[in-house]
Amino acid sequence: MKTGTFLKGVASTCVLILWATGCATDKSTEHFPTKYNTTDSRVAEVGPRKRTDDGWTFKEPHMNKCWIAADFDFTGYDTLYLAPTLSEVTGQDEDARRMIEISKDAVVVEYSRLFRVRNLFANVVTSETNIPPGAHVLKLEQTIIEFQKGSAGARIWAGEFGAGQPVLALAGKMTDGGKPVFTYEARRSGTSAGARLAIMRSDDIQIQDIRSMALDVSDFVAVIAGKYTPRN
Amino acid sequence: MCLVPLLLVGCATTLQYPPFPDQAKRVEDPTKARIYLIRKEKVVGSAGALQFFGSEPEATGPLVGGYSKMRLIGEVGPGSYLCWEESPRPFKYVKVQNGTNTLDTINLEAGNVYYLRAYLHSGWTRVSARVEAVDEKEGQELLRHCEPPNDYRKK
Repeated sequence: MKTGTFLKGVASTCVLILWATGCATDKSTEHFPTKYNTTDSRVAEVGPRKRTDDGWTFKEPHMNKCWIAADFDFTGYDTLYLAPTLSEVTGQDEDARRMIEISKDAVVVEYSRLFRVRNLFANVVTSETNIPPGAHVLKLEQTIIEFQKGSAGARIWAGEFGAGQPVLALAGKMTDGGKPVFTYEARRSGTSAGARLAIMRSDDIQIQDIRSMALDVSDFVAVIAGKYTPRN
Repeated sequence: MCLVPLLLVGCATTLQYPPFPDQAKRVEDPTKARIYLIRKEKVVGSAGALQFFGSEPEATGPLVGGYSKMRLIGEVGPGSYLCWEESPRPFKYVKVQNGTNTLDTINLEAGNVYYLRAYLHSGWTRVSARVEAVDEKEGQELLRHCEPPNDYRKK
């Protein structure tokens, strides 16, 4: 009987300790929840973070690099300006150059769609002329830093093992009046199920890959802006 | 206007690029016409999303499928619908996938609502995507069984 009461006491203590740990989240410390419930019933993961000299570096599982400035949380801005996508790479042939142009366009289109849906900013614009006068603006400029057009033939033979997939990597830089406040790098190569079945065109696979990056970047912004509920 | 199926396995996402208008109103912008593209079927083998293309300004999606002039209005999965509003004009759409000789036209009038039903037609050798206009009564009945794009579903 005494043992039972003792065990109950230990269990309660453990529960309380765990609960207290879970609540000890502070935006100014390294302890920060890594998983969040999104508003559309998914789970968004941003990974642990480390303080650097000028801000926070996140080990975001969907990005190769992810950094935000200290005391910056994406709030207090009414307009997001998605600048035209740049490219550091040039295609080796006409088809690759066409795909790069399609991807540059699609990056703006997909990021614009997802940032509008997230309701993080009152205005999401893709042209400087559409920025409202006097707006408090964040500018997101993205650059294609890696590109491979992939091979439909290789996908037919071994597409299910990842062969022949196109590759696209983006580097994004968000600025407030020219000062960097958020930077990231992400890379995708045939993330959708259809990409593995040799039935999709390379440029359509890259659209899916861009959607995947846009989803993760917009989720990250939503997490930092406090739009999602922590899970842990 | 063109309809092309994208045969993906797994669950198909429904998404659209034009703004999704307020469903509590018959037409959000009275100077425009509202269009519903409804896909009710949920049978096995219909899991892929159908892509629906259009021309600007309403079609603001990416240039997919190798098209250089037509942009995506959206992708509709089984049991889902798209909804957008367009300025009054003759609205041309292809009734059978890749069938340019099956072109049909709806003369969009401001304040009116138009319903298109999309479905997969199984032939002897191939499956093709089709679209047909339905009247308001049938359109409303189809909508009762379908959900809006994933980003606009009630949580």
